Amino acid sequence: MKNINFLFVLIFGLSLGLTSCEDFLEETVKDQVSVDYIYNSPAGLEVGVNALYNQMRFYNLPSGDNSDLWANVFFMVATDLGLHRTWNTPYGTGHNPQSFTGSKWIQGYKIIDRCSAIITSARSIKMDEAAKKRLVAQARVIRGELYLDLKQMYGGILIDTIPTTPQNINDPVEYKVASDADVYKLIDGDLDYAIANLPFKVDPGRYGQGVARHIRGKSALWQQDWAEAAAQFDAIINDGTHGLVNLIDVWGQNGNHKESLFTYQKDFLLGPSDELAGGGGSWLSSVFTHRTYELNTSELVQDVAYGGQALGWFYPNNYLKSLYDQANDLRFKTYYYSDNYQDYKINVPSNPKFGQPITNPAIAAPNGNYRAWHWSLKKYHDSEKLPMTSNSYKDYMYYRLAETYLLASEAHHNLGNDTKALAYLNKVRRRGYTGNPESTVTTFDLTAWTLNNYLDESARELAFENNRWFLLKRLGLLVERQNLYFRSSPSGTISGEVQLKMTPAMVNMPIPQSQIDLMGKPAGFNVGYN
Amino acid sequence: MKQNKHVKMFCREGKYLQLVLLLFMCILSTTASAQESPITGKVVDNAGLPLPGVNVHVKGSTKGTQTDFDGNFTISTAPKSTLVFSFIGMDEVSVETENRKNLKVVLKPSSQALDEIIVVGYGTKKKSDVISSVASVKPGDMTKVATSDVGEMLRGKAAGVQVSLNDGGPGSSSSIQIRGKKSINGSNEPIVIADGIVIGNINDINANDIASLEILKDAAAQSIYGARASNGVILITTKRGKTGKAKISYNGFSGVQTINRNFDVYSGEEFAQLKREAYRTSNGGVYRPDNQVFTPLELESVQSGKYIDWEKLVLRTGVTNNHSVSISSGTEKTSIFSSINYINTSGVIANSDYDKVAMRVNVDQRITDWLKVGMNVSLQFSESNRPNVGNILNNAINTSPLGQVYNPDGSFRYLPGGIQETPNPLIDVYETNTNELNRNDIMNVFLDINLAKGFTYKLNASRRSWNYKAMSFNTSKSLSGIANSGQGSGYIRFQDNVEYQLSNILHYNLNVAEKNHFNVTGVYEITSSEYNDFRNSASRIPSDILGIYGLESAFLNTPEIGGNERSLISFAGKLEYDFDSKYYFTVSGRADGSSVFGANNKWGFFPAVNAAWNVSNEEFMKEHVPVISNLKLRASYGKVGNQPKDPYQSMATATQRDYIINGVKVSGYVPGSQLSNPDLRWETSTQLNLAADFGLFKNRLNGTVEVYNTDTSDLLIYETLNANTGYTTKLSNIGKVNNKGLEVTLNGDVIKKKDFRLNLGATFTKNKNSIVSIYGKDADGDGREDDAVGNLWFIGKPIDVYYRYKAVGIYQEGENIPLVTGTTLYPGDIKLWDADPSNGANPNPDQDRVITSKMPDWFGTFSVALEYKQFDFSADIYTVQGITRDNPFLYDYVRGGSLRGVKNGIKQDYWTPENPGGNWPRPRDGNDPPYINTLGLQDASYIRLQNVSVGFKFPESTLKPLGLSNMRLYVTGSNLVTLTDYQSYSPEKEIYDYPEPVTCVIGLQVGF
Repeated sequence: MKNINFLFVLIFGLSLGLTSCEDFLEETVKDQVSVDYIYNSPAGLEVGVNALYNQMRFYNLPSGDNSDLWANVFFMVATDLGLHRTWNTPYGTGHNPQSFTGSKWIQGYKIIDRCSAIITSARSIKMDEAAKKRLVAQARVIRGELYLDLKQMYGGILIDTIPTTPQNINDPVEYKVASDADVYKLIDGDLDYAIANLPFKVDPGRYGQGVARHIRGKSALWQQDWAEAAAQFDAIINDGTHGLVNLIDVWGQNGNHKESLFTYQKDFLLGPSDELAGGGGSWLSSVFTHRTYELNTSELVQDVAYGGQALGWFYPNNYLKSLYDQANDLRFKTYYYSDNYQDYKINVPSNPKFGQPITNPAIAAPNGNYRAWHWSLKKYHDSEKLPMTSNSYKDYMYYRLAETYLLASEAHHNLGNDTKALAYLNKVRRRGYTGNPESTVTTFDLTAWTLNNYLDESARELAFENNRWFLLKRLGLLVERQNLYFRSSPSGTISGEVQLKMTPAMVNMPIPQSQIDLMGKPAGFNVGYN
Repeated sequence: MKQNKHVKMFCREGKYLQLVLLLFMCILSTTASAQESPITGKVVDNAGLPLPGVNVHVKGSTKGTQTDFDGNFTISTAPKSTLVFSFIGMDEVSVETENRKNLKVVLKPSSQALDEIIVVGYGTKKKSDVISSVASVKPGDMTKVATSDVGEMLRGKAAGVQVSLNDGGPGSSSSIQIRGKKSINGSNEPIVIADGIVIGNINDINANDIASLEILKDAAAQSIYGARASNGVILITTKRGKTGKAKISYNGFSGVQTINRNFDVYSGEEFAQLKREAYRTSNGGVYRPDNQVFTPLELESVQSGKYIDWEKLVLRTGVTNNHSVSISSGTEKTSIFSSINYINTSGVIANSDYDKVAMRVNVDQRITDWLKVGMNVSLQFSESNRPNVGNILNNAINTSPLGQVYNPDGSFRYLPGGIQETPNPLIDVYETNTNELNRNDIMNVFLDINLAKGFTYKLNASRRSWNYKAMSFNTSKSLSGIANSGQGSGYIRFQDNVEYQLSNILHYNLNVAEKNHFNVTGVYEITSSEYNDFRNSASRIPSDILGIYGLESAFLNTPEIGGNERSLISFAGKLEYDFDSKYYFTVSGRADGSSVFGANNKWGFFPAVNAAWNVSNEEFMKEHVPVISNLKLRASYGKVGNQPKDPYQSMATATQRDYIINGVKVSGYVPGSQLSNPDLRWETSTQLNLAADFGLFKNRLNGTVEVYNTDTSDLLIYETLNANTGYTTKLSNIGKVNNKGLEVTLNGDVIKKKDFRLNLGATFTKNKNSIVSIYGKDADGDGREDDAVGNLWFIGKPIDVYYRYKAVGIYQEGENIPLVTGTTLYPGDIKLWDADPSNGANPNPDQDRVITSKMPDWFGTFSVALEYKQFDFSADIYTVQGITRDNPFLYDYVRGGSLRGVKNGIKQDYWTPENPGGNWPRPRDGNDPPYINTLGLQDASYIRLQNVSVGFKFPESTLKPLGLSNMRLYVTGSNLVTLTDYQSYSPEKEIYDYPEPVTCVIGLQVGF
């Protein structure tokens, strides 16, 4: 029996004594880094800022076909320049707090919180002050940019600059619409800090002083502080780091040119998903392009020259088309695919007429088919895209100097300086007509600064960029113009084109109902929606 | 080279071999024999009939034999020795030979069912002494179901246990829910314990190896498993070797599989007409000429009348084979049970198959009179192949029947109808494949020590590992290959999981003054596990020559890596007392320390008490109410836990989100959308269980009625955070859910004659689930807690609900159609239910949406077992009632539900001006009819003839010359008939899921 007891004590004792409970139950994460590292070390701060760019790219250029894409496409198309064929219907039954995508609201506040965490924690990190300021300045541009974005989209928003932690998550919060003054104070504070601490010249993919001033100028326009706006825009124009490029290069394959104030970087080879460095395949190049290859399968197959695999969900409309001097304005042929069938050449190798123009597509009203044939946008054309996919990995220019010129023109007009206002307007216009940014040809110059001249020129230059919806909203013209010119044709025919009524309340996007519910339905949000 | 490979293979398996060898080295059987002489005899049952096949062996030796068909035996042994007679279903008898030459032995049937041994937490009990809710499932009933999924075999076998199929494909598994859904975001799956070891999945055990399977349902039975037990515990005990002559059994079946559906899709003509109607609607009600509606390829079909039946091209008749052999043998000192099982299934979807081999060796060795060692080794290998299309059936249904399947050269046409949205579904069936290899090893070594009379110690050490390898490839001709300009793609993935468990178990039995029985159990257990995951995705592989092995040449390889570790320390104990088998009282509890709990909450304690009164053991019952042969009333109350599913949720971490600066990759890290919770802990379920077990007429009618009330608090909920905090979710312990239920099990031996037996059984389960509380806030001040509408959690309603507008009809011409924002409604569009028409026509989200439960009202089974002479017959009917499911095929564009004439779908009676009685909206191309998603909810109640089996036992006269002890030939059909209104291949699945097949097999059981 002695033996037995010994054995028992040995085994039981061994297994008990193997570990101390505390150590045994402690968790150490293997495949992620601790938050402490990011917010408490110089190296952590840097990777924290890098990740903000990744998040912003997802915010403004998500991959695939989803509600995140719709959140971006909406602002490109749901204006007086757009035509809807299918996919989501702007201002339709889905335009309410229950159904409309909450992508911008949710992602926006997420990135704002991460910016705040970096801005706050940087204060206590010991490192080279200049380097620290450059990092913090980038986080502050992003925060300012996002608050301006949310303010423009939703009207009534919340502001909060305290980073969320498990410790403060349950602190009492009063949900109320932030006053315009408070919102703009926060935005301007962030951007002014960034302008003071960022150089103009930065590596492609990074925020520099140019983009900070551009956003700061936009903020000033919303506040009708014309002098401030003009000063910011002039500073960018006069600095010389940025300049207009040849028309052909504006939306060319290289998005990192002089005219770009900021371009989102993508590279298939660095990982093809939103989470990875390279970024996921964007569908922007397909959304606004007709499917010519469906016209006649014996004549055309998917060809990158004509946009490759395409979707044709939204198109530029006839009103926009009417704004162009089609013979002389080179932007008509540069920013859009040709609407002349003879420019499309038969590319089915077995077709005896290979290389010759395709036969006249049946585009005559009312039996045409917009899906296969409609005047289409070429700005997001990607000549390196694979022909049988909608995925494009082309860099995406998000802010550009041409917009700066046009906005500056508006600011100077409001300051009473129409000479300068016209000069800026014509600077962009001359490039449009000659292709040359330095052109001095005055033949096509506008001679008077009027609101219509300004809006039309802006449309010709910036259509389907992230500009029109916000511009019209700021000028109080969005509902009126939208209802005048926007069209929807689910049948894909001219005769099927109908107007979709935008109600005045829709100038503020619906905040997701789930968020309203979570806040306990406070007053002041989603005014005019159910 | 080839030899080398085998050597390597042996080395790899060397670890197991070593362990096996070590064990066998311990096994030194010492059999000294004295002078021997033959003894003959005859074994009969209590009716005097001879018993063939009875095991006879000499106690203390390996010597043994079996009786012949007349019950006679002969064996040589020392004049004074002990013979042991054993036979299944009979009590074992030991006889001293005492120099006799001829023996007559009578075997009595085993004491009645109540003396069956039931496995409970860390021990066993006589069934009559079990006072908590434990359901036993007979292994013989399980293996009657022709499936490779053990979960599926449990369906309908025990009250309170709901089984639903995850995926009906070859080699699939089921999800098991015991007594309702208790957790909102935590796991709702029970833990499965085989031979004392927590295993990953019930399918890690070969069904043919199961000696007993018990399901612990109430807190009293579960509490000894503490923080992991609140979803129930399934205890499996595998078969062990038996002393006596080796016994070899074979059980196998082969058969065919097919699937049934209860809906129609539009035929070619009907689809063409649907398309015309869709184009007509958007053309101001005027039909357009066919050449504007159809593409040239489609038009060819329409004109020639030749349409495509995609379902026929995608589906085939599946084949399933299952063969199992087991050997049980043993001497006084050593016994071994070994088995091998082979399963092979080719699925009903072309290009899908599954193979599995399971092997087991269970060894017991008595070393001294106080020490016993044993080892269980189970190895499983499986391999499956499937096309990489999650929704092949979906594509088979919704690809347009117009067009051509093949190109003139015989290859698959990419776009059969020339429409980009509907590529040829056959391409990916044949041009893509995922090959998955799984290896499951479970090994445990145990030591039983008799410390003193009634005092035992058991050490159980185990290692369980799972290895997974997946190789997925899309060829250059697959749809993704076409999209990538004729380049392949795919991934290779390795996952592994190793878990160690060490249990120390002490038992002490004590009887005081004969009638006072005490039983004490103490457990100390530690568990730790490690998980790794590595995946390499390869994009744009230039050639198909090597398949996924060509990934080195891919344009881009993207690796992903993940891994975690988790650990658990537990102390558990149980004190049981009964007086004279009449009054029972038990206290038990477990303290669990788990690594997945937050730093501020590392330990949880889970106690339980229960008591029972065995009324039928009272003298007055025996005297005055003899008709009641068994009556036991019992009550239990206790707490059990549910730990968070995933590790690291209490830790604040940042995930990798890299970016590109100046063309160069830069590293980025950012916290995700989920906020960490350092206070994270377990869910606690507190359960009251009241039950009565009864038996009437000598137990010919017996059953159990139970009611329970479970409150689950500190729910693990992904709390939705207000997005402006920067986080959208946090795993929190908040809220409370209640489950109340009634379970009835009835079993009756209606006819019990020698040649004719009829047994009827039924189970009934009703569970009512409701949310008691979530955030505990009453912001609107109506005196009632606010619902969490954003998450669809409503106070007083079940956990899973739909919350939607409701369609009540179709607008007719001439009807007053209201104006709504965002669209214009026309005749033929859907009319919504409006709670208050006076507040405007726009659907009001607060008033007009309707809550519909996803949970069934009740489910139950009815079973018949019949034996007549050599024939046996059994059938199970399973039903689930009062359940509603959302059927996306009724409305979703990509499922062909939105009547746009692009995708085919389930045939409906749609409205047209000429068919105003149609109950489905008018088709239109371009966009979906407004509010069509309100048509999705469908009653998914069903009645299913789940299993029918007819068998024939060959008579002894036939078997004798063949040297067989038994042989049964049987035919089994599974899922033969299902009655339901839910339009799908299965009421439990969406159409695009792999449905559970209808299976018919022929099988054979043979014993040597």
